[in-house]
Amino acid sequence: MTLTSTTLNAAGLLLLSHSVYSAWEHSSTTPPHPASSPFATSTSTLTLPLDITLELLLSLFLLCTGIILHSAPLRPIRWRAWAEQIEKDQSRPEGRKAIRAPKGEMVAHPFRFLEERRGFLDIRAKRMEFADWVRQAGPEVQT
Amino acid sequence: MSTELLNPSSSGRPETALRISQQAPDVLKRTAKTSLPFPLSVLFSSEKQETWVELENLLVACLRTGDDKSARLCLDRLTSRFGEQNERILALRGLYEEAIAQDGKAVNAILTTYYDNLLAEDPTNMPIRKRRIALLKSMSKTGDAIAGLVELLVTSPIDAESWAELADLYFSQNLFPQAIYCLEEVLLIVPNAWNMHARLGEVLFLSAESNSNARDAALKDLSNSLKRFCRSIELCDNYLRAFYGLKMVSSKLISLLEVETKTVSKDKTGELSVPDKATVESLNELATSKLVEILRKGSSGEHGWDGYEDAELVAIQALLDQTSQKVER
Repeated sequence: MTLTSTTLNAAGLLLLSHSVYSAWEHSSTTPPHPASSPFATSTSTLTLPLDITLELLLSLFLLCTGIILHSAPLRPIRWRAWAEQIEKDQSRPEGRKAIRAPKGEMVAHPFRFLEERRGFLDIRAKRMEFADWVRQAGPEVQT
Repeated sequence: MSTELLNPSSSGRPETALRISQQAPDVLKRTAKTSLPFPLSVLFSSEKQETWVELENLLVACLRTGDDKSARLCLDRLTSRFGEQNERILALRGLYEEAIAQDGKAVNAILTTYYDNLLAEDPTNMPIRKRRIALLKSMSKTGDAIAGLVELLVTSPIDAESWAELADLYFSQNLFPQAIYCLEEVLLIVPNAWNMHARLGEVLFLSAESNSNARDAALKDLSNSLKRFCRSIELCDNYLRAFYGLKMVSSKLISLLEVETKTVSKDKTGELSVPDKATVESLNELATSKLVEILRKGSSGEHGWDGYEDAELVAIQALLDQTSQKVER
């Protein structure tokens, strides 16, 4: 997937820069059309050869395909499906989550704060709970 | 690695807290303050909002695991960024002091000197007011905590977190009607919260269990609970918690409806009507088949069905065994 999209993007960029360069070369070397009226601007009279136009269009097509292939999978559009993934991601290990956050961003469970309630955190009880857990599962953790 | 720190899933569990707090040296090194002179620091600092969220999560995890030194470092770093008078920093400092307090006397001192003084200066300091309530709850002064929370909600009635906390406090005192009211307030503020719908369904179910002598009240609670679980399922596909609840409630409701065939007096419009037996039975069947499906696919680890915990699957198995035994009898 990555290889295909990278190849497509590279080819697209190459063709794009080549077509732009060709267009520039063409416009600078071809004299203005002799039949044109003196009042028309030079750009309107210049016609690009068909192959440059085709090359440009092809490069755009390749780039679009490459970028779409490269992008992250789309998130579910229906609330129910999205909620299911968010809910299951809570107990999925890192790396197997269905909804991946772009780097450095957060995709959190939108309603977990109502059950977690960080503002009302009872830290003393949590500390005791942790100490109990260590006592019970101590040997497992240390190994 | 940093994703988990940013958004610690199932943060209630000690394993997660331990794993996060073990990252403390790395994170503290990574986020070490770079000391560029003033104009350069504005141009080249790579400060992100996420950095501070990470530090805050790390602080809490370290306090839980008893790594007070790293917690202190996190707190210092946050303080140097946001200043000592920042409301959130004040609350985090209170949290730190609470965690390292040795005995009841020290805890009491935090309540009377630190929190009460801060609130005397600025009564609108919400994070500190919440911490004060949390500390009261921690000292098992639940009555005072409830009183404080009610007062807080009078001034800020759209704080869903506080409503949910109040519901939990009432629930811990077995005051079901009050807890139900608070959860309904939560749902007015966040109507799409599927977990809160399920929570309300659970509280309604327990409320019906507690007053099983009054049949009409129990029926009303149960049918309300049934609707809440259905709404929760509607909002979240394959939501195990809600299907489990739906199964429990519908079984209970069927047994209640069987006892008395006399139709319950038709309700006036606007009041919750008790669903008829056929509907409840089909909902029960639906919940059973869904639970069986989740159990089968979840335990075989089929693709896309891996997000259930083992304990949850065991609980489904137990519930299904229990009901199938009843049928055999």
